[in-house]
Amino acid sequence: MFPFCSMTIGTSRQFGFFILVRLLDLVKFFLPILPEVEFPYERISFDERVVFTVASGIIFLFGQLPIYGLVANAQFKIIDPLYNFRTIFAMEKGTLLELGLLPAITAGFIWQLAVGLKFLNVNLNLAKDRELFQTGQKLTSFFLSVVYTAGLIYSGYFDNVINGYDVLSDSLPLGWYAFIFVQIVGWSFFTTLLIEVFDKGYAFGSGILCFLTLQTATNVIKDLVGLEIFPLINSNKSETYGALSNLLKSFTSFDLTVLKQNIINAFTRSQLPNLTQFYISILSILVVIFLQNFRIEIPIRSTKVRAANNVYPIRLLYTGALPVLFTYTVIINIQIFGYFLVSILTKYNVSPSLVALIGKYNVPSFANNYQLTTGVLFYISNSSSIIASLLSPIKSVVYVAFSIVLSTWFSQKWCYISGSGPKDTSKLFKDQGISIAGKRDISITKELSRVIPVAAVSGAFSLIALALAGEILGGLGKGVSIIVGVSSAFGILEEFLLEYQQTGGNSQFSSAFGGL
Amino acid sequence: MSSSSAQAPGGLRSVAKRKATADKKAQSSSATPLSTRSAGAGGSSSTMMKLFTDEAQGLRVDPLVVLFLAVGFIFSVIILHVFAKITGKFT
Repeated sequence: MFPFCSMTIGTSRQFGFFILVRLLDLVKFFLPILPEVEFPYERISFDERVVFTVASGIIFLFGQLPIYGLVANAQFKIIDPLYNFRTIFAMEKGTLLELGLLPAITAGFIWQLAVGLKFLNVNLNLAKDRELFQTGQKLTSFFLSVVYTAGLIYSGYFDNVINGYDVLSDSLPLGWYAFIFVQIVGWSFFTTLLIEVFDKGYAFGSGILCFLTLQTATNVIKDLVGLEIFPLINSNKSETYGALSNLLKSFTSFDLTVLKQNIINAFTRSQLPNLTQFYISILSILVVIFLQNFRIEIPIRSTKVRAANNVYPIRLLYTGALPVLFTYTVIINIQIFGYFLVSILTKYNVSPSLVALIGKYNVPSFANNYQLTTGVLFYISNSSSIIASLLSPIKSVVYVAFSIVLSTWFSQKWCYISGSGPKDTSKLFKDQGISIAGKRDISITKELSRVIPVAAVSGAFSLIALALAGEILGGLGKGVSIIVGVSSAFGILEEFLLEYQQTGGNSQFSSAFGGL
Repeated sequence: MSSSSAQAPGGLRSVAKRKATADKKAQSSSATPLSTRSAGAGGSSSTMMKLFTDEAQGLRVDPLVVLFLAVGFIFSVIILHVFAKITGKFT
């Protein structure tokens, strides 16, 4: 009856292949309409790469422009269900970067893990399959941005900040919804293309990590010394955005009781960045730099040249900050889809006690956030302060355990599937005529697999432990974004310096700034 | 029957061993790479996450075009904001 009937009845392997063909065909259908950044015709010079990096970075930061159609200072009026995770993904409330890098990161992890763990039978040796694989990631990124934006609009996330719209009396502002949708999805689309410009070798590092680093760096400065003054919700006070500038301003009062109150407020305020988060950030930077230095040096020797000895370093942070990033990608996706589910079920009048199993949100009077009070979502969310963490110990333990398990599992898998596992490294050694001193060629893989997975897992564990320490103390994602940012910055800097040394001083920049 | 008689004599056992190694070798040589990097095409490394490695058939654009289009998008949003401010003043 059906031509493919005989194919479906077979071993599971054939069945998997059958699904693969269908999936890749689906991607193929979109190929002609998706924009594709060209590869450079000739080698990109060092100077051009610097210009591309800086230019795309600045354009990316332009995304902090407020969305057209929202009231002024919308970021303080939106009631936010994702307040505790959004900094990690460069998601800026009420701006074009509402989704930040979340669609691209989620799409990348889904595809690369699916292929690495052999859920999909893609043969990456074939250029054709690789092309479809990458187009699949791009398509998924676009698709996810549409889903997230539609979900946010449907759940009424923007309702109380749309210009001239009254939730109680007006009919649905479909025109404004369309405007908001086009802006967020459009900017997400351009962000993905900018990432592609990075990844194709026009700029340094990977697009995702470079943008995350940039966003984190600007945010740390803004959180510390931001000078804008914003009115607080449910109060008649206005406060300075930056934590330090707010503290300094409080010293203008000489009344001791007011001063004491102001200082306590500087550490605990919840609508604007506070000093606790700042200290967590600083400590995280220092610890990451400290951890970055740990490595095992494997003595290597050349198999071709006599007495050419060297060491091959294997870092403790072998997988960098990717396990931490992966963990939070999973958590934020659970949170965001959970939020959508709760708002859909509420709209269809499902009984509140059933919805509370998933999650129940509560808006405290002193903050503009949806805070979880119970449900599955509550147990995998962080706390806003150390007191809150201690008051709900079960939740803290569940959250910590969940994160650690995800992170170590990922690092253990990733060090094999990222193409830098023991086998790949020993192949690299063989190609370059390198051998471990005092070992035979055959046992290189064995020797490396004694070191690499252990380094990856313990490195991932120490980073996630650092991240969670910050979270328990009330870092609200700031510490995590710093950890991802700093360790990515190290990777990017490494690539930058390598490239700089290889140009051999032929750079206009180095001759212009060399005399400084 | 005792277990010792179930075991094949030495010769056969080494044949079985040889077959196991051959199978293992064939499996490892026919195994497809797990990532674009292990296929030798760049992409995500252990610390860097990259999405795009190849040039697919599609609407090919220059990177500069992407940058200019992105700037154009930003400017269209800015212009919308400016218009809203201006019309808001007069009405």
